[in-house]
Amino acid sequence: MEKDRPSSFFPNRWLTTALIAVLFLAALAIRVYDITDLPNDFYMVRQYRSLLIARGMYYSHLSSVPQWQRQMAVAQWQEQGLIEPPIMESVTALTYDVVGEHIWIGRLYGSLCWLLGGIAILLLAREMSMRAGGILALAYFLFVPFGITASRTFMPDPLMVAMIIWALWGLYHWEKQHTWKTAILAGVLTGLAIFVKSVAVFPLLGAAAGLVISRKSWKRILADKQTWLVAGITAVPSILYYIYGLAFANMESQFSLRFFPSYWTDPSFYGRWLFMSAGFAGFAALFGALVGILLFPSSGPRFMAIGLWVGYIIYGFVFPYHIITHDYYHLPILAIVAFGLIPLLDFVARQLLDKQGRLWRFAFAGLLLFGVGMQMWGARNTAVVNNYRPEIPYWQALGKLIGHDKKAIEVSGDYGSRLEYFGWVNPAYWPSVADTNVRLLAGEKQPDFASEFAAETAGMDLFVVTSMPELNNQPELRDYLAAHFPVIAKGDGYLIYNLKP
Amino acid sequence: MKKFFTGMTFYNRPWVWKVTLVLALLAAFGLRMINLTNPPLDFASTRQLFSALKARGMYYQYATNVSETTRQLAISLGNVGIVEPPVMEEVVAQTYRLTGEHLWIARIYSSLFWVLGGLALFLLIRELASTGAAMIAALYYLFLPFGVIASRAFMPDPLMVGLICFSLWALFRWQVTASWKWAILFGVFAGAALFIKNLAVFVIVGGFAGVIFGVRGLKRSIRDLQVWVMAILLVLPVAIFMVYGTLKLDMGSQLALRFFPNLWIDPAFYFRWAYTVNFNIGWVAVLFALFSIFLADPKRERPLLIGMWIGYLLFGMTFPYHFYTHDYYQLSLIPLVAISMAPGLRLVLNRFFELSPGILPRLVLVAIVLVGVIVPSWYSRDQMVNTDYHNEPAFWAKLGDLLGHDQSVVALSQDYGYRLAYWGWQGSTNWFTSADIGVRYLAGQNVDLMQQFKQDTAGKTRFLVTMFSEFDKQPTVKDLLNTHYPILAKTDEYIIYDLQHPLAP
Repeated sequence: MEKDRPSSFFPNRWLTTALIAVLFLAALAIRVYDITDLPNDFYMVRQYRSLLIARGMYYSHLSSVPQWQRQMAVAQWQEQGLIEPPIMESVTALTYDVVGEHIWIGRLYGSLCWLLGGIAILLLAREMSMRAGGILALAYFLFVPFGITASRTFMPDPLMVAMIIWALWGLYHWEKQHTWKTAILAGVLTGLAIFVKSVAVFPLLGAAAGLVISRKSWKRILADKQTWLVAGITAVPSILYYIYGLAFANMESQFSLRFFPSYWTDPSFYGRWLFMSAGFAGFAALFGALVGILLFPSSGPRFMAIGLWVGYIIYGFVFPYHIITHDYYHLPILAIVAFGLIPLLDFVARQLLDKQGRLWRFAFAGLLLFGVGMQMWGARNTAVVNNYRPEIPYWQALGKLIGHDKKAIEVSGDYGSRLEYFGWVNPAYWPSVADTNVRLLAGEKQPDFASEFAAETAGMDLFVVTSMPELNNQPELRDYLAAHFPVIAKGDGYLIYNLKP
Repeated sequence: MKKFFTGMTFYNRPWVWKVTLVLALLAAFGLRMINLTNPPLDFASTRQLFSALKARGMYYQYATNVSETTRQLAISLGNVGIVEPPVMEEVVAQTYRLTGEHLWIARIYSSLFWVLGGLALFLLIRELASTGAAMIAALYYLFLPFGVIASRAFMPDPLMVGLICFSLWALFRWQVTASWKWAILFGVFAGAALFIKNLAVFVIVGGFAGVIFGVRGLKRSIRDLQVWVMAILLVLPVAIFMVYGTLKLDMGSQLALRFFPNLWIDPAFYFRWAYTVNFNIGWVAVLFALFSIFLADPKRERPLLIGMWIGYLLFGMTFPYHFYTHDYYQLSLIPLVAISMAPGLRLVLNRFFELSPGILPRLVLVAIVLVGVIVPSWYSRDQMVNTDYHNEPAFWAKLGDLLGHDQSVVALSQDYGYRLAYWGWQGSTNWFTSADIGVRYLAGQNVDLMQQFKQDTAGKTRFLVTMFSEFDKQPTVKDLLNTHYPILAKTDEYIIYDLQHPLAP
């Protein structure tokens, strides 16, 4: 039957492979463009955290640096606290061992991880006999603007998104083959995805639940030993990690200030969430992916898609504050949309390619590559506008001015990360207004300024201000500092008070 | 109940699509009424104020309840030149005579014309593809945020786009029926569209040529009287206006600085064009529309679609500079994308009905379509509410009072001095912005700033600056003014130089 024949772009397999290769090469090219710039373009606090961890790991056994520097690098690493397993950071530190320390290495790994996720999209589409749809969904996944920006970052998220797609492939592959081997593979991939970053549990649990529910028989679900095996393997890595984290690494602090159910009753929360998700995924693509749910030819992938969306919605309800303030919390939606687009795009592509001659196929591929080129142009324009490299000497000079051995507390716009990384200073962090507001939202009391100031500055030598807007947001602090402490240095964008005159 | 829902396709129950369409049109119109009284600075403000000044000038010609000085000033300020026939301005001015002068009246007309265009678009796509495809394509046309914002602007473009939709509908009806009725209707609608704004020529003539070459055949068409009547009706109104305008209204100057063939060989032009399309229309929608052309029936549907797209491409090549600097040049792309989507939508919907005959999937589809309408509507609503310009008229009125309404002013001011003219009742000669200078360089002209300054300020009494970033971009002029002329008034928002009493050297 015509419809059951696997779709492909060109009858000639090599041409299809060449098209896919072009997509991957172009995706890599746009991600390595200007990669040596500092990672200030997207959630720099999160990226510098990874940079500090990776450098600490690398310096811990580096003998060619002064003792103080090694000790400080390790201290800065250990002060970061445990959130997710430092997989990306470990791999980057190991690479530093071979090639030396380069800021862009973490970004390169992020980009490569994203591309690996693209391979999983192709495998998933092939498993569903929707190869042409897979190629188009791949093009979406690799070139959606938000994905380009967010995937060339040094954070665990690009790897998490890639692993989500691999886990989806593993789950679907298992459902189709239903062998012990594929069950173990599905469990390992799903478990790894959740291990990389625990929030992957939401879409994946939804997808897995959807998949088994699609069997439409409780007996087939509950009596299936393989299902229990998959669930067990999935859960083990994260359970072990959390036991370790809670017992030895003070991980419970990471769970605070995340759950704000008060948002649920605020209509603007839903509006912002919807706009952000539609904006990042692209409204038409989001709409197409929703329509795609209805176009899956069998209930397995259809229920998986529904499960993915339900999981994403629950995710937003669990982290309402973060979903409307942290762009990168939306990254899983790109995997969900890419998955949902496969049947829609495959159907359209099948209609086009089956009916047209060779010339039209090339025209079709040309249009696709033209669209890709446009997205690359937009991403290139965004990247080229910014140049953060001059910041390095700035922070280095400021670090020297402060003194690497001084105890300082800092009002900053980046949690002190750039001063730490480039300035080799280990400042304590004075809470911003935004931090205080989150605490108030969580029901904590407004701290008393005098006692807070006394507690935070106890034993400190200097009070460093590197964000004037933030200082002006806190007039009580600004006036208190001005009235009680002398300024020992002042320059472009910084102010240093001596707390021990 | 089950039977009710399973039979609930647009085919089985025609009243469903009729009710849905009416609700969609009403909702689209209602959406455009949000923050109606906001001054028209939210989109292409220069073009909107141009029309506002013109309409006020026309209205004051009839006004009897104002002083003769005010009346003459309004008429003089409304004399901003002719670009297109002032149809919208005349309609609005006549309405002012009944209601008094309210700028938001124009928004109502523009919105109405655009929304009515949605009706024609629906009828066209319904015949071209299917009722379901027509509904979704019409919703796209009605609720795309760029379209929502642009279609409530006081400019001829919403009416032009509405008439393009009616023209294309009539054209396709003629293609199918070959009747005199549709031939004449096409000629009337298309002639009106071109008359309102001659830029409609590209998409309409493109579509017409597509039908002639791809469906009817050139030889047969040349011998067909209907085709000749259609062509004559299409061309006649705009031809008469162009001849009259060139001879009597100095319209020749309007054609200057528009054609820049040197951009054709600049790759950045194509990227910028595509970027503008992506930003306003969205690449996914445009690519889907383009792919859909491949899915269209080669004889019945594809010629019209290909013709319109070729027309659009020629449009871009003819006005390369405006195509990436003026968003509203992309407005005719919205119905073009909506129509082109139709074959693809038809196939997708057929596939959906084939896979999902039950109630639940249909309800889910309805819910998804509703989400697809609500999200962009809410986005548009946010844009309309958040960009508030209600404080602008008072500022410009105050500035006008300060200048005295009777001064000879050169102004480096927003919208070529139109804000000052409209709310401040103070005319001015516009001083070049850096973009104006740039476009002249692009056209191969050389701008001697000192000479230009001398020429523009001759006989003038004041030099007003309200665009400080622009002022900073022109250090020669800034130094010249600061060193040679005294400042009469200065705030964070404006500087007024006295040109009558230069400082001693």
